[in-house]
Amino acid sequence: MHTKLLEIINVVLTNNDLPIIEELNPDQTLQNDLGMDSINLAELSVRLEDAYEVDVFEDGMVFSIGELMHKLIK
Amino acid sequence: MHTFYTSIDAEIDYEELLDRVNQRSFFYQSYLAQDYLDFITNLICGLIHQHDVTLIDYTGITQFENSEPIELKTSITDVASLINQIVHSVASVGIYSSGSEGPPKLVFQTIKRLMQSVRIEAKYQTSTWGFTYNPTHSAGIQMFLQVIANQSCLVDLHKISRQTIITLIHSKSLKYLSATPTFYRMLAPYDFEAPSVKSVTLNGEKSTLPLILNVKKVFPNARIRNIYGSTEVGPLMSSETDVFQIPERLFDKVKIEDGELIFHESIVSKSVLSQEWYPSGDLVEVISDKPLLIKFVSRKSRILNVAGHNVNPQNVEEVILELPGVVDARVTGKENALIGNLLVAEVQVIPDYNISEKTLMNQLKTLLPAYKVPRIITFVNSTQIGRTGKKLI
Repeated sequence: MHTKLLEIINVVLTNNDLPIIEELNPDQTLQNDLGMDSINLAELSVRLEDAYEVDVFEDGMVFSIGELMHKLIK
Repeated sequence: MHTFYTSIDAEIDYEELLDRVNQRSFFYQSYLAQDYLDFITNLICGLIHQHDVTLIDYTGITQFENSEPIELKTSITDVASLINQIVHSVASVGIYSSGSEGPPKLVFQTIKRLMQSVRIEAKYQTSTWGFTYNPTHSAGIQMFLQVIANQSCLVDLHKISRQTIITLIHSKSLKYLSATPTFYRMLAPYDFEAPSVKSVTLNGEKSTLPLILNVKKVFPNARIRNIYGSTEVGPLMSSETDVFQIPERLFDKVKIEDGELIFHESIVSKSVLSQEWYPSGDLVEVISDKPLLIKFVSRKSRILNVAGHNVNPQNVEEVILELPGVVDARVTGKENALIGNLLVAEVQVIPDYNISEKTLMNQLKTLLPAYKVPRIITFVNSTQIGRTGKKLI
């Protein structure tokens, strides 16, 4: 799961000219640390939904990579 | 004898069509045909015996329960009588409209009404018409009536490859061509000329000016007509560009409210009427008041909310279509809890053209505001097309 999630996050970061990450750090926030805006987050959620069939924002905002991993494991 | 129908693997003349009709001993009100000739023979049998016919899309479904067969005895002596009986039938045909924006609606049209747009002239006799529409849709039926009323020839170009289309246009010296903008986009990269074609009609969807210019390049001797119409009102107006002048006969029959074109009941098919004014669902931009010139902007139902902005996916498609190597594009919204909709695109490029999602996205970022750039771009062999030959939206 981790490799695939890392890959999807980096696709979104690359598409939006943001620096990619080497590994998943559960404490890193998607907006402040990775630099994603709301459209980037929407892109991330659609790509994750295609891959995992889970809408990560269905029940509210997800701030950190850790929260994201938790949603995908559930 | 004149040829009635020709395709890549079949050809029949009008005498053979007459024989098929006389030999048919059953008619089905709704019928899943094997092919075009089977479909058209059943339809003709219904029309000449004054039975209404519901047109079933045999190109889209494989399983269907035919209605109860009705026994027939037909003995028409000559082709002229056959044609006369078809065009003067008092029967109606049930046509499933569009389906490009949701479940198709069944609309009944009388042959008399459908014949109103048919032009009968000596110059059309023995001429060849490209048949590009779904045969069971209103444009397909109008094309059939146009051809049969003039004893012209149908050249079947429906659902075949670009190269086969070009081959048939040349080998059959095609003279008249009527198709959706989606069909013409399939002819990209527009690197051939078809001088035999004298008339080209774009119908059924919004045409952009760049597409019309490419069509002019490929058919240098053709008169180009861009038609606006719908299943509910039939063909309504035409133009040589993407700007339409509302003709005088329609002054009191159409109006524009909140940017949407509205039709008066007097020009709308009775089977869909529920009020005096019928909203077309088409958004237009008024270019000038006198004369009244309009340009079609989009289907009203296509406007999407993306991060608080109203976005017309058609505008985005038009920008993508301008990029090098792009043949066709389809932009839709993927519902999203955060921003309402995320724009996603299917893009078809010319064969062997190498481009990545990222490169295409970067090109679009220089041409569009960030919220209008599709964030997921899929490269496809063809964009999704509905049963009428229009892009699914």
